[in-house]
Amino acid sequence: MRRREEQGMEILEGADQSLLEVIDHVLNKGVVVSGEVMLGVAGVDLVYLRLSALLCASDRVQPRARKK
Amino acid sequence: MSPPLNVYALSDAPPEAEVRGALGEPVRAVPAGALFALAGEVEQPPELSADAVRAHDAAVRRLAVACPALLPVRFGSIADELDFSGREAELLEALELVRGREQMTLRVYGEPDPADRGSGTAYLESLRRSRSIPALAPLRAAVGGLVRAERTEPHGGPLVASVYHLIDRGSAPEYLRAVAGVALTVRIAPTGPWPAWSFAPEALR
Repeated sequence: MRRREEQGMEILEGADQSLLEVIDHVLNKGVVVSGEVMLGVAGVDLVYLRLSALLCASDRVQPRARKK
Repeated sequence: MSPPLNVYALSDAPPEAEVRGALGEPVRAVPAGALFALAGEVEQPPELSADAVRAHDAAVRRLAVACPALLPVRFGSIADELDFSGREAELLEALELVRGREQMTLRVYGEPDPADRGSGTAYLESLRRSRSIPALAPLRAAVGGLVRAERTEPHGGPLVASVYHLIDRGSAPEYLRAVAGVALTVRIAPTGPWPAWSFAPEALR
């Protein structure tokens, strides 16, 4: 099986804004149940950092984003 | 040994209707102390993919309809056994908070305040400002009557912060109308309603 962090990165690269929103809620929030969590802690952090960067990037491509 | 469980959510009662999980499997309410873990039996952990993430979100949304009090569980939580004994009190408290409610998410874009390192006091004050986001004051005034609880998460980039508002179920259209009518110096992007993802204990780091 491929490394889970790689899977996380791949879905982020192709994601539109609405999928990014779903990913942020579903992967970064919610109750963490002890037991096997699918992404290791390091993987979640990597995905989270990349996700923050992408949420920012989608702001930059929209002209309205600029502060007046 | 029983098959592993893919946990979707926690509640304090079984769902009021039969609900299907991300793979179409029946969701069981597995008692764990005073809580119920709402989970499907799976043969192996789900692969992480866009479809799998959407399917998890959809299963949590179906469960939210059938459960007045529901705390979503993070994607990929596969458990053989469930023991919440050390966290039961805070989970029950969170369930009370979200009962009959749902979440709106606001992304706040703008120029982050530079941290003021001039003095210890000034630094602490700038930290407090980054959490309270004073630029949102007009918005808070406009939606204040609808908001039952707020969580903020500073990010410190062009995405300045995420703000999560807990509102009564069904009041999202009113909330969105109120947000649309406010003039702000920062750009905001609201989404929702969502199940109360950000109101689970430890949801925000």
